Amino acid sequence: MLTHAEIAAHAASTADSSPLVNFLFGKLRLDSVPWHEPIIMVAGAGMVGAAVLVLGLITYFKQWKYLWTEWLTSVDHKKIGAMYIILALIMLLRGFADALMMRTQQALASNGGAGYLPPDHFDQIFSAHGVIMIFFMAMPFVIGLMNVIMPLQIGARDVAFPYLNSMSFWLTAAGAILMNVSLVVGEFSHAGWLAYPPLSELEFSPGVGVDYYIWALQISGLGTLLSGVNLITTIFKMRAPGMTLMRMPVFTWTTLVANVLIVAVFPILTVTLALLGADRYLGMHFFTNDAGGNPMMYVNLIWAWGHPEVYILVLPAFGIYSEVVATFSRKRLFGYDGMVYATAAIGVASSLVWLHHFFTMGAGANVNAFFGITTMIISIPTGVKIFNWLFTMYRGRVRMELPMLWTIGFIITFVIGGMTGVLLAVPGADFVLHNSVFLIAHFHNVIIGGVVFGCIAGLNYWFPKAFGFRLHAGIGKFSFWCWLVGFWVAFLPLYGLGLMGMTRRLDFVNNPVWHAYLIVALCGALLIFVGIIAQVVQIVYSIWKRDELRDLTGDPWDGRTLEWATSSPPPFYNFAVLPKIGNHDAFWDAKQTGAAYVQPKSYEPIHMPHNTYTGFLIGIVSVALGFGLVWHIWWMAGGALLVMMALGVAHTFNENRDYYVPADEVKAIEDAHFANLKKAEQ
Amino acid sequence: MVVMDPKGPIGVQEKDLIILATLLMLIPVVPVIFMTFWFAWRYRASNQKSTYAPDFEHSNRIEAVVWAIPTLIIIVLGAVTWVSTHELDPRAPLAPHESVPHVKPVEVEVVSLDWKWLFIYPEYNIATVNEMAMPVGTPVHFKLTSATVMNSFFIPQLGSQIYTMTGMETQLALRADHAGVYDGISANYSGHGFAGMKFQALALDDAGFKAWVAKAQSAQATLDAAAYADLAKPGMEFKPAYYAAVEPDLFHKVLNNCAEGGLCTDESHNMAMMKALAPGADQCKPGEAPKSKTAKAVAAAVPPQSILQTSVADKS
Repeated sequence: MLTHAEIAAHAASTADSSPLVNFLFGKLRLDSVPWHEPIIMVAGAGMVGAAVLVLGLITYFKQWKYLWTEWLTSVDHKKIGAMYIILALIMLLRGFADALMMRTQQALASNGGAGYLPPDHFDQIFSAHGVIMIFFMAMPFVIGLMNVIMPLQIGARDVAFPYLNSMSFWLTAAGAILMNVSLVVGEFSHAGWLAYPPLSELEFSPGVGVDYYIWALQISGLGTLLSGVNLITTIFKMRAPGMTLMRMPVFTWTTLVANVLIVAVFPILTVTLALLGADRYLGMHFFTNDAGGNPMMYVNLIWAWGHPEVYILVLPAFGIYSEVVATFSRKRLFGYDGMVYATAAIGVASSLVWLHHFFTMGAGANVNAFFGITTMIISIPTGVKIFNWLFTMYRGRVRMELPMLWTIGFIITFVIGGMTGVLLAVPGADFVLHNSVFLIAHFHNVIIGGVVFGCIAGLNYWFPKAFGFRLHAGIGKFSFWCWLVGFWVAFLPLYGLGLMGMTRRLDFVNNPVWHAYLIVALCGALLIFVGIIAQVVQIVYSIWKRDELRDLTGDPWDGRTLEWATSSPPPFYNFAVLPKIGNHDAFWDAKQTGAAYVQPKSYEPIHMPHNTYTGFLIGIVSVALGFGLVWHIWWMAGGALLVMMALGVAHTFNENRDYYVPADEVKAIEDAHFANLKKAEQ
Repeated sequence: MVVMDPKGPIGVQEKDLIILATLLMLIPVVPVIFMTFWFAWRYRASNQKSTYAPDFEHSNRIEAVVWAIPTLIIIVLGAVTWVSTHELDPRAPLAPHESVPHVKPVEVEVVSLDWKWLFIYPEYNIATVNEMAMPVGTPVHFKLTSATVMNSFFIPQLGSQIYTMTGMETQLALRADHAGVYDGISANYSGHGFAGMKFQALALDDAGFKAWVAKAQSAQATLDAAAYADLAKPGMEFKPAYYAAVEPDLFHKVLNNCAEGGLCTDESHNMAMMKALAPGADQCKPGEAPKSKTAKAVAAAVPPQSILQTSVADKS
């Protein structure tokens, strides 16, 4: 991360270079790396060191072939989903490190001190924190869970387009790599997570930070859009016989609505960033201060994507809670139809509320009131969902396993976040609360309390399905309490500070009254950090003790939906025989009637896709495309684009895409599963 | 809690609105939290005495109630929102305090710069930086714009904030009913100097306000075009400054991107629409060398002379 003065000096040094150097390296020079910044150098060395360590271990244990054939080139939706979640967890650590730095800076710089971060570093940190947490933590986590579970829930053997699925993941990973390269090579955007112009225009952001932002999001956004197309097609075309739309599990329903939203609104993001890119690269004036540019247009466009994005994240989380509540209350989900209609209603309404992010722009009272009221209307179906979860517990047998614990923590936390959200939807209240840390507290309240809690509930719930052993409950509970208490300790002070007139994104505060609150908030953040570490420890410890935590049945929680009908981990073809569906609690019904666990007499060959390296290679080469574009290294960008296109075209000539698993092989795998089931009964 | 301790009618109304909306929402929120704990405890798996109804999944009565409760709350809150949003429209004129019923609003023009606030008082021909004043009980009518990136003008204890944006004019009406010194901030991140972009709003009695104006009028400096150009440079100078006189129409020129010379945006629009002869459109002199890119482009495309000739020709 470079300071403004360094960027200016840098621009001067590139102007002096010879044409050959300019051609070869664009704007990139040795001094593009901030060698003298100890914080960045340590972080960078840490990242490089970790990468070297991982690569070294893979080499030492001779796992390259395994990695290549089983993971990197895999088109298996379960493995791709798992890779999405691994990416999300790594990015959670990076994004949380940013959060800790911000909280520390504000705690230090609120009592007369200057803190340890200069403003331009602080500004990049809060921008990076938002971008990473939304695009590279929450999105991959949610899409990963959808990928692993949704095909299993509808009784499919893979997604509709397995190769596309692999490419979607590697494009998302490429965006994340580009994002992290910006930490060490050059700088990241200092214009906030949505890069409002004119601040993000060349006039005010001459460095490469905003360009990193644009290309990291464009590349990963393409992956997200393709993934949306893929999952929608899968749900519409690949459901098991008998599974009508109104017999789909609720998580599948929320996945469907979320992906319809992805396909509807991600193109808006792409176009908006492309227009900003046109301003920065081609000298156009869509959002500039002069020549007829209109930054207000950008703010409208980015929120026309940005608000539905919130629901893209939270709807699948609602789906997870619905599954968890029914399973751990040992009871049918209350008000299934209502849940489905509420989900669809939220999906539609989420596109009609974007203006509530800028009531203070000076629109007329009719416009503001309209968007305020549409926003409140969303709270009606959301409220219904909460009541339905409660009435699912009512007259149930509630087991306080980890996923249920997270769900209860969610309900308590989320209703408060929803309440402050509706409050902010009243334009008159927003006029004094907008952009304050009250707003920060609100959206962390719904994103952490809603999305993150949901993802961790889903991780604990479905981990045994994906890997065949449970996550350790004791460490998980410790992590839960750290998160829950830490959340409230970190964000209650921010609600208070917002009412005291503290606005967001301040690199120094100098207010002795606020100092105490900021210290408390820092303590809360540290508590959450302990929770995150415990989460990592839980996973590592569970892998180590996997034999003790093993589940042989494939159904450790006494589940209700189809994913529990197959073994854990499921065979690569998921289901040897496609199940017949009569209800949204298909597996529960089968267990009641005795239809579950009956081994068929014979098996048919199963049609499956081959692995392909094309998606992986296209994703990796797209890092070079983005890097070349960021630094104006045109040969690199053009070359990378050509290679990507060539790889894509070459793949169309690959006729050897699928094969049949012989019935004997299926029988051998299934026999082993049924032998395990017998063992489990003893 | 400055937001909860407002010093003017807008802030008071907004505080009441926050309290009313919160209480309304607590009607469902408190029972939900209570029910969560109650159901989780009552129907815990180890409590075999509680009723267990594994197939209970639908009840018209319950579902009617759970749709009705949030709907009713939102109908009430929606009505409150509609009315309050119109009452609190930042552009709506504000009446004076009842103790001074016939006083005229004070006009203040606000320009956000990197990273400081410029206040122009056209009625007194003075300007100040990072400090403004208003007489107690008298409404203040703000017209706001930005000479740089977007900011938000906000005096938390008086109420409503509003964005300042280049090339756009927003308006805001506020009133202080109690004398005091109130913190003013930018509430929209605007770059590296953002955290220091603060000002003080002084609510003074009548004599105090007159003295404050007199102090500014007797200042050494004046805000002519050159001084403005100097002020507009990015800087983190947080000390208040006073100017005894102001370049004519400075706010209008900032709004039209010509405060540092060049052709004004409205002028160029007029020229582009061949309305150069419209009254009042000749504030930027045609002979003046255009400096901004916009002006150059427009001037090159439509030379003023040709407009003149066409117009004259039309008339004849």
